[in-house]
Amino acid sequence: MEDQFVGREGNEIHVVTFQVEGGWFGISVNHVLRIEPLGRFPVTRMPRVPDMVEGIINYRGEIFPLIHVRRFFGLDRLTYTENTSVIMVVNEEERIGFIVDEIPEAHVLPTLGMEDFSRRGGTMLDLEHVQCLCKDEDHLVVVMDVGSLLRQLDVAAKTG
Amino acid sequence: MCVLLFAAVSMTGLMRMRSGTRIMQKTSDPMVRSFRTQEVDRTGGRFLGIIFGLTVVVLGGGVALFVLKTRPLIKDLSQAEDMLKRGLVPWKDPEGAERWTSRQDEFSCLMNLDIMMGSNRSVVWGEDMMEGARKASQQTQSLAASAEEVRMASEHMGSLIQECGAHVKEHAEIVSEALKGIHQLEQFGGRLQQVGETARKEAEHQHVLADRSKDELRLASQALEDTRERMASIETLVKSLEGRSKEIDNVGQFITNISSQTDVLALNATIEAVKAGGEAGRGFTVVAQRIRRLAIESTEAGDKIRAEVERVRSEIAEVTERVRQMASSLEDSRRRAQDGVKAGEQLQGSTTRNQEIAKDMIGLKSKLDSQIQKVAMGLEELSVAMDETILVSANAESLAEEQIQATLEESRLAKALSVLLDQLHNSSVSEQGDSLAVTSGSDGEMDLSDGKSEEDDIDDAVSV
Repeated sequence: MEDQFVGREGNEIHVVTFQVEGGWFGISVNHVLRIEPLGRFPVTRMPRVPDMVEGIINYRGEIFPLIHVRRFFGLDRLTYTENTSVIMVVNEEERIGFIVDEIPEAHVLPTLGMEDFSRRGGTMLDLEHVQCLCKDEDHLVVVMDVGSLLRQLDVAAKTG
Repeated sequence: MCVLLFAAVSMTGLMRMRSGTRIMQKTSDPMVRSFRTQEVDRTGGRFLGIIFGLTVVVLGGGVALFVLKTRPLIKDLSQAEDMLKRGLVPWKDPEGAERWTSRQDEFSCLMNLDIMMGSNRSVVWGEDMMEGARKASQQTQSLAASAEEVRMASEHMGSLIQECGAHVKEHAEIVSEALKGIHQLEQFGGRLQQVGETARKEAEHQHVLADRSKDELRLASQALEDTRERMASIETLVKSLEGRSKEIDNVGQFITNISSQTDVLALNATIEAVKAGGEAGRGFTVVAQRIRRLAIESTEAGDKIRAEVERVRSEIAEVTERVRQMASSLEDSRRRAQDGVKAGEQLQGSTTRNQEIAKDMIGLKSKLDSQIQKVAMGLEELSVAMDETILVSANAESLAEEQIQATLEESRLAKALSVLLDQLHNSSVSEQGDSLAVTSGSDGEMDLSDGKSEEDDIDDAVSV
C-alpha cells in the first residue's frame, strides 16, 4: 500500500532504523512484526546452517530463524548485552528475526529520489536489496528491501 | 914506727922509680921479693915502679891515719875492760856524765837473796805467765778476728740501715700520697652525698611523674576503649548502610528494567500505530513516542541512580575499610596505653628502688667518712712513726759508723796486744831460763834488768 511512495522524492516512510559498524540501516515498519530483547527468548541452535544463522526461537507459537546482521555483513559478532534485540520481520508467509546490537528506533523519514540516483551513478552499485534511501538529520539511512533480502538468504542457505 | 915504715917504703918506691933495674935482694918486702925473679925492661920496670911506689905511699898513709885515730878508742876500751874486771859498771848520772860504780856493792846482797827466794816462785809465775800470755795472745787474735767480723757486720748493718732509711723515706712519701688520696676521697664522698641527694630528689620527681603518666595513660586507655566501641557501632551502621545502598541499587535496576521494557513496548506500540494507520494511528504513534521518550528518560534516571548508588557503595566500602583500619589502630593504641600503664608501674618500682639506692648512697657517705677518718688517723700515725723511724735510722747509721770506727780501733789494738803478748811470751820464756840460771849464779842481774825494761815496753804499748 505504501510501497507506491518508495523511491519518490518528497515522500515520507515509517522505518525501524538500526546501526551496524557506523552505518545506518532501516526496515519498513510494514514488514516489522515486533521488536523484542534477545534475552527474553531461549535460542535453539540448529545444525548444518550458515554461520550467520544464530538459531531458531519460538515466538507465540511461530518459529523464527535468527540472522545475525553483523555476520550477514561479514563482520565479527559482538558480545550480547541487555540491549541486544531481535527485529521480527514478516514478508507474506516468511518469518525471520534480525539480531541487532542496540534497541532499534522507529522514525518517519523523508525518502530520496532513487530513480535519478540509479540512472546517474547507481549502475556501479548493487542496489538489488535496497528499497530506498532516507535522510535522517545529518546521515543517510539505507532502507533494506526485505523481499529480495529473504530470497538471497534462501539462496545462501541452500548453497551453504 | 909506722912513720918510719912508711918512710922506708916510700924511699924504696922512689928508688925503684928512679933506677928501673932489677929489684935488689936486700929489700925485705915480700911483695918486692916476688918480683925478684922477674925480668923487666927498663921503661916497663920504671912504670911499674912508679905505680907500686904510689900504691905503697897511699896504703902507708891510710894505715898511719887509722892507727892515729883508733889509738884513743883502744885506750878507752882497755880502760873499760879494766873497770869491768874490777867489777865496776858504767852508768850515767842525771847530769849525763858517765860514771863507773860497783853494782855488786849496791845490789848483789839483796838481789842474791831475793833471787834465791823468788826464783822458785818466778819459775812458777814465769810458767803461768807464759801460759797466760799464750792464751791471751790466742784470745787477742780471736778478739782481733771477731773485731774484724764485727766491723764487717757493722758495715753491713750500716748499709742495711741506710737502705732501711731510704725505704722508710719512700714509704713516708707513699704515706703522704695516700693522705692526699684520702683527702680527695673525702671530697669525693662529699660529692657522692650531693649526687645521692640529687638522685633521690630526681627519683621522687620521677616517681610522681610516673604516677601521673600512669593515670593519664589509664584514662587514655579507657577513652580509647570507648572510642573502639563507638567505632564498632559505626562499623555496624556502615554495614547496614551498605545493605541499604544494595537495596537502592536493586530498585535502580528494577527501574532500568521497567523503563527498557517500556521502551520496547512503546516502540512496538509505535509500530502497531503506524500499521493501524489513519488519524487514530497517527495520534497513538505520537503518544507511543512520548511514552518511549519517558521510558528512555526513566532508563537514564535508573542508570544514574545505579551509578550514584555504585559510587555510594564504593565510598561506603572505603569508609568501612578506613573504619576497620582505625579500629585496628585504636586497638594498637589501647594496647600500647595498657603497656604504658604497665611500664609506668615498672618505672614507679624502679624509681622506688632508685630512691632506696640514693638513700643507701647517702648512708654510704657517712660510713665512708668514718672509715676515711680512721684510715687518715692511721696514716697520720704511720707518717709520724715513719718520721721517727727516719730519725732513728739516721742515728743508727751514725752509731754504726762509730761502731765501725770502734771496731777498727779494737782490731788494731788487739793486733798490737797480740804482738806485745807474743813478746811477753818470749820474754817470759827467757826469764824462766834466767831465773833458773840465777839460782846457780849471779849472771842474771843484767838479764833481769833487761826483762824489767821489756815489761815497761809492754805497758807503754798497751797505754798507746
